[in-house]
Amino acid sequence: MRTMRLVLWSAVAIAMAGLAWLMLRPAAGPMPTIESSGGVAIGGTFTLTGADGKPFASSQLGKPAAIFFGFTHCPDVCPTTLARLTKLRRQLGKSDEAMAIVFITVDPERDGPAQVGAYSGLFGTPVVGLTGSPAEIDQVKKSFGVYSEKTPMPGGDYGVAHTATVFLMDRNGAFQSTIAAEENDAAALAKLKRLTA
Amino acid sequence: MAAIDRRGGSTRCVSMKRIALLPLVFLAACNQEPAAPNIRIDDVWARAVAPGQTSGAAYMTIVNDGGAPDRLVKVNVSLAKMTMLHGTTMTGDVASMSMVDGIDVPAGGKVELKPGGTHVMMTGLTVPLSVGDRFFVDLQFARSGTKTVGGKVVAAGER
Repeated sequence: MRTMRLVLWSAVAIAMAGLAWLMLRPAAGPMPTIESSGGVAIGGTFTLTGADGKPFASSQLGKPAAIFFGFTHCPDVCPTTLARLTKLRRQLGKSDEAMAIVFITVDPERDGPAQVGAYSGLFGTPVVGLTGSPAEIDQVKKSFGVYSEKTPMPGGDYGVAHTATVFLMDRNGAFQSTIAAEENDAAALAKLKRLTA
Repeated sequence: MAAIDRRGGSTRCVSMKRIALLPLVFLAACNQEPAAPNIRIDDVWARAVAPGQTSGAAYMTIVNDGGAPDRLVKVNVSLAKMTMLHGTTMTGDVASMSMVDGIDVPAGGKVELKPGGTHVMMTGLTVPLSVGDRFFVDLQFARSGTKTVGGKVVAAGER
């Protein structure tokens, strides 16, 4: 019916106008920064325990850092990621001091200072291994939005499912970007170049 | 005699040839074996683990040059109390490990066990794996039986 057609086309016109307004209106205030869902910045200062058993404050890093959460009983993803980070750091063409590689355990029950220290020492290049009490580790996990969960294995052992993202923090300790597990080396290297520029 | 019965002779010759050829035909038929897998294992390696670290992963490439598929059904490393086939799974940005029942190796194909994917998971290592060490892996295939291969331990940052 003609009236019906008029109504429907009017509706289309109104919808188009609305869409145009949404798209063209000036941005309200500064561009949003990347934030976790809680409205809190990703990462932040922390104090954990170093491989020497002494407290380690994030401010001690003093340089850009790539932070990875894992556990020493992890035979594949964790050494693979850390090996990749050490390889990419080498490819930056700067010294090892250009960037810290930090390994934080999500398995504080098994990974004490000696364990994270020995694990970090496997790569032949500086890797900072950190642990802490379960409560301290939980707090840092939360601040980075990291998930981890024990997964039972036959024989009484357990694995830990965990966020495998690498967090890139600038020299002031502020979050800059992430490297996803499936990102290729070229993309990851570009991010590290920007981080250490 | 003048008239050599060539036709008769040639017929006899053909018959002789046919008889002579018969065994060859049988031989050829006998050599048509049913297609079988032909498994070869290359590049067996593991990363060094830290002293006191009891879990490790081994990687390798399984090649099947044969005309039939096979399936890896069991793995054992004598250095470890328990050996399993594991896969690394990504669910979003969360990495986890899951047991893998077995691995099919297609005819004329290959399967790579490599970092970030399927790997041989060793737990309860009775000796720590150190750079330069050799270790042995028993691989049991559904059709090809058990193959034992040697692997080497490399530095964690090397591969």
